[in-house]
Amino acid sequence: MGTFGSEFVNAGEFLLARNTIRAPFDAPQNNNDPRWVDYTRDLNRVIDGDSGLGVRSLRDLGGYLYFPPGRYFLTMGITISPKMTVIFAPGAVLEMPTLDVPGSDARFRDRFSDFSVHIQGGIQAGLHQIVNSTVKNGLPTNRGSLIFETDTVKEAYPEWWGAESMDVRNPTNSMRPVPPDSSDAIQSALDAAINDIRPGGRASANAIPVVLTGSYFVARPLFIGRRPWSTTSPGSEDSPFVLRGNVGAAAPESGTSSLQAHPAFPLSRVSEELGRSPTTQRLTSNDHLLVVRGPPGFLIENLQFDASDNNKIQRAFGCLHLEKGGGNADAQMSRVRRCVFRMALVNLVQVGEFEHPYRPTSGAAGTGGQDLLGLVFESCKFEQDSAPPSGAALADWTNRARDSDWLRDGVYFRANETLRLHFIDCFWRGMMRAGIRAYSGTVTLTNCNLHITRMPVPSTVCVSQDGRYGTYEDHSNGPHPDNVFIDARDNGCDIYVERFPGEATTGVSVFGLESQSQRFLSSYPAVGAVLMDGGRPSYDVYIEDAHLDNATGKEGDIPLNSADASKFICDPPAVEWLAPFFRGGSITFSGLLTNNKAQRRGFQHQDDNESLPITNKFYRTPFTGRVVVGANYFDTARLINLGARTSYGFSVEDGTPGPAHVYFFLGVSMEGPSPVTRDRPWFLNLNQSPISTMG
Amino acid sequence: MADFGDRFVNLAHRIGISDEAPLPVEDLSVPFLEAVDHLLGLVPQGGGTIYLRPGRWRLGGAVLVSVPPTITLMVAPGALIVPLPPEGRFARSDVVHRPSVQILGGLEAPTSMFLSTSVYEGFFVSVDDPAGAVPDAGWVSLPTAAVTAVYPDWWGGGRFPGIKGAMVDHASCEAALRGALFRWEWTETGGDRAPSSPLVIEVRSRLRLSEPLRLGERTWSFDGDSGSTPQTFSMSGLLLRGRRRDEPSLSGLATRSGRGRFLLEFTAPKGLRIEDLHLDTGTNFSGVVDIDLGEGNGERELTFSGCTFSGACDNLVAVRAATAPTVPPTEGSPSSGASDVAFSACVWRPSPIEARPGVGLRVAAPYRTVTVRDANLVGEARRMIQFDGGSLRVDVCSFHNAAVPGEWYATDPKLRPPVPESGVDIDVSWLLAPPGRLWASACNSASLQFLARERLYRPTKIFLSGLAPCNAVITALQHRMDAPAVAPTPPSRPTFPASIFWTTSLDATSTLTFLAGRLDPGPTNNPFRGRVAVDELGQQSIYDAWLLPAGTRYSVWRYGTLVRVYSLGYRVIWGDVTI
Repeated sequence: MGTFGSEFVNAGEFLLARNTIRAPFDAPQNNNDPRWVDYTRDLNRVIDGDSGLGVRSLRDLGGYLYFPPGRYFLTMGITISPKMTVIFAPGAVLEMPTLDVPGSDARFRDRFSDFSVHIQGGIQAGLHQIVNSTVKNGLPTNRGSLIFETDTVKEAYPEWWGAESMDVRNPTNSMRPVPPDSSDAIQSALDAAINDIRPGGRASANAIPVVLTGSYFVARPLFIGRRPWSTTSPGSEDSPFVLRGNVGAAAPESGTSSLQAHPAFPLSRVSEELGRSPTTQRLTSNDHLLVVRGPPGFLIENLQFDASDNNKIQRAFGCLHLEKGGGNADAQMSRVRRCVFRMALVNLVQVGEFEHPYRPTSGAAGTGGQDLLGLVFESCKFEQDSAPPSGAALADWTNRARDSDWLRDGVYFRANETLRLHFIDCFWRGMMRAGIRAYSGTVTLTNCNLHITRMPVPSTVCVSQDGRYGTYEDHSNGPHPDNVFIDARDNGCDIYVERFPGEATTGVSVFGLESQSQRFLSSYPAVGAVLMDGGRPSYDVYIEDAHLDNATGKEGDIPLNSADASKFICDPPAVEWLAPFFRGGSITFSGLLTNNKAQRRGFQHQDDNESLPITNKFYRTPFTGRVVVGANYFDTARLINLGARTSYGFSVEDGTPGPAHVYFFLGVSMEGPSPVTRDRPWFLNLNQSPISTMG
Repeated sequence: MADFGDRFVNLAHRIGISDEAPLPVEDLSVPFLEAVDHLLGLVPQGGGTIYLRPGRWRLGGAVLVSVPPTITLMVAPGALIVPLPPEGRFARSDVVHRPSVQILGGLEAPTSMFLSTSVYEGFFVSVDDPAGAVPDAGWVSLPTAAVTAVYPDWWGGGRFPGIKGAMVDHASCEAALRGALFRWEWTETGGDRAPSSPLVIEVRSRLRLSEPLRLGERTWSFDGDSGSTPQTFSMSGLLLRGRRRDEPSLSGLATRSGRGRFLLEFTAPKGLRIEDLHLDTGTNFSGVVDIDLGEGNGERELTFSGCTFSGACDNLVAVRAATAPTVPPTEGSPSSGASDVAFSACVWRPSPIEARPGVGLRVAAPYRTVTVRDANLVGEARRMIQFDGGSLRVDVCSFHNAAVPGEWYATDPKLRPPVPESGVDIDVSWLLAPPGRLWASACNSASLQFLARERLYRPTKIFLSGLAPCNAVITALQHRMDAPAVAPTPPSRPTFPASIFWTTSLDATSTLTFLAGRLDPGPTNNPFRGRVAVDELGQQSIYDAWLLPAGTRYSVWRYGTLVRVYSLGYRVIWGDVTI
């Protein structure tokens, strides 16, 4: 009455009955144990019902296969059929066989299938290990694993492969001087649940959502899709997947459900993997916490990525790297929702190397060959450190990360025009070169908020070993190897459109922007929302309902070393538009609100270096550059001819108290009569109509 | 063998059935309820677990089998509950006839099939029912809080291939819908029949549907139950969720011609969400989603998120409102407020039916607002979007329509039916009263033509350019036509259309505002054609544009290097212009 029937098979008791092991049930700890026995045959007998012990066929009639604590060594794979549910007690671990062919062998995938446990029915297990990891020290162990051949396993957990989280489930972990590395276990989970490692291909259509319920340290990058250095490692690159945490941006300090860089990240790998010696290893763009190759229609949500370790030292190149894989992805939309990206050495998120535009492959009737990808970030937060490093972090930064620090972007985006990024309700915070740095492709922001606290500095500035700005003279009375030149003119932008060698038709569109990005010192204006610096671009920028509140920044950058701070100041306008005359390239504002105190500082830069043509004179202007602006109403505004290479800019009048409101409406193209000089500004008003525009 | 004590009742053991013996082919409700009474009678507090071993459990025919809140029903993998059609009191006397089994307590069930349907019984009952008498099946009510989502897999969805499998799959979806909606608690005295909030229906397997699945406002009738009183139910709050996969979650496999039929048919939907579903027309269906917004007012709040619509189509997705609402909504931008129908991060992949391309999304919903955001519309369509009425907002979408006009083909027209307007992204040529409003912002297109307000190709065809006015605002569009795979033949014919073709011959009130976009004409060198009011903002790419005078303001015809036309009255140029 109080028991299951014969459909419930306790594997331990069964093996006892078969005299496979001795009572009490005590599975060996490794295959060197003299008690080691291959359980494969007897487990198959249980499943097939031909054990001779009156056990029914679980495969045909249904039932449970229960594993009490112990290690179960198998020499071949088994199949948990659709009517079966396999139950793992805490401490019950399947030790899968080692494949008899190496990973480089063409037969690997078939043999992997033969040597794995096929889950066609249900699985009941808690958050504890149930199977051996298939990755060890970043390398495949060539052992079998779980293969999900069912739609009914709702989720997979890295704990099943031995991941250790840093929460109440593992109270001792927080006491350890070095946190446990869970990268091997999480990689095993991704391989089993998402990556296609089975014969026949496309088997990852059954991709099981992977759920990270805790906080994990990873010492190596995690890969979804094929490892970049391997042609034989597992990985389907054209199947959708879901990676999910259980918290999001709403609880950034909860410390749970996150991926965080291990202090040893990126742990040295063997030269076989990287094609280089571990001793000469440098960070590469693959050294993100998570690398997704060939992103097709994925969903990543409620996860926090932290590229710094438990001492707040940035370790990983970045948090998330999306790159093109070998798959022929169909037109897909991917989403990243409610995620936090934090504290990367270089870029928080890197998207790039998509070089295959959509082309119909079979004429007008063909719909194959699509590679039209859209990537949406919803309610995400991009956060870098908002203050200079200090203490041990400063020393580390000085020694190994200083140069890359100046190249640090929030989102680095380099792809062809068929890739589209859309940020909705996202936040940027902290010291970055740019919130978004785009080389090509299309970027759209909707209702975003940026507060970039990195400041721009002229190119003649170097940074000393103690992390301060200065000149050579300030630090070493001459060139000194410890001082590093920095190219930080463009630091501090919300959106930076980088010069792109090719010709690309792309665009940036902004709808509802709130920018409080960095200003340098209290009396100086801020850097801009958009910096367009294309060499041969065809970028079109459209900005609607933006509020550039440059005067309210609080954070500064690295402290100046010189008493004459002004010589290190780069003071560009809110919007800088350096597109040379080339067909294409336009910027349009609709409903712009600026607040930059409107005082011309008249600052003369110390250096008239030709490499900085636009910065040889600085005005507190919301615009400089060649623009064609549709505008018909200005509140105490005037045009200023900046001369030189630029033609017409636009500035709020001097001394405007409080916020200056500038509105741009549709309908009027504005070009000032020439010359318009600083001393002879051209005032516009609504009554001046029609404006002569045909020059 | 481990003994779980008195509070664990193996029902088969309790009624004396050995593990080797099959379960009896009879209603086992009475012994089930006796086991319930036994558990409830335990001291100090009643309750426990009733365990159903593998086999077919017939329950709920004579009496309602109710699992009380303090009892957990544990169903073994391989066990199948066959809900018998109810008999006796309340059996068929209510709008929703009484369930065979209702679960108020816990439920531990396998993730695969453990509930049967009448369709399944009809196909598979003969194994242990030699007489072949196939009874109607009852249904299982799930008012328990222990169940937060239901799965068609529970009713056998996705288990069987072929047309029979499609019928089982459809029945499993219907059963899941019923299980999610009718979470009513029944008692022998009538009891509380107030519906609780709907559940999530999660489609994890790949299902094929033999018939459309009707959602939204629906007059319910149960399979084989003509005695119950039909009543209309809303499905507000329901979430239908799929899994991210590169194969369809739901596809069609109709038993009879599904031409003109859709996989999901919505009637007056309100508060429904569809997430991560991949819908494919499959066989014998000509569309995947049909939405009839009905006559009601207000926002319908039907949202599609992360869905994929694919297949050969007439209209892959159709949004329509047969009549205007009783009180037209106030004017305003579609950007304000929620939409009646919103598509977010969806993918359209239309393909032609018998070489005849169809429509990806058709919107004919006056006074309603439809929003499409973050979509990829890729494939071959006559028009990716046909806008016939209402307000349509298209934000941050990418288009690549690989279709071209049928006349371009030199092959036999019988093999390639002439579809002159093929290759358009958004077509407003068939707009009906009242005036339509179209917003398109931050879109990319590599199609033949982005916006058409006239037939794209009309040497001998109809020349229809909109029956009703339309205000369109196109913002930050990037249109660069790739060279189509098929070039016009013979070459003497008019070749490539304009990126935006905007002609209104029947009215003088339509406006087109084109702001901050880029029209790279590709092989056409003709980005604009039509009567337009254009705000030209740095668009130096407007070479050789035809802006046809139509006797109204803001029109210009010119040759030259640069055209600038301004709309808000500051700069108006009439007639031919030489700059």
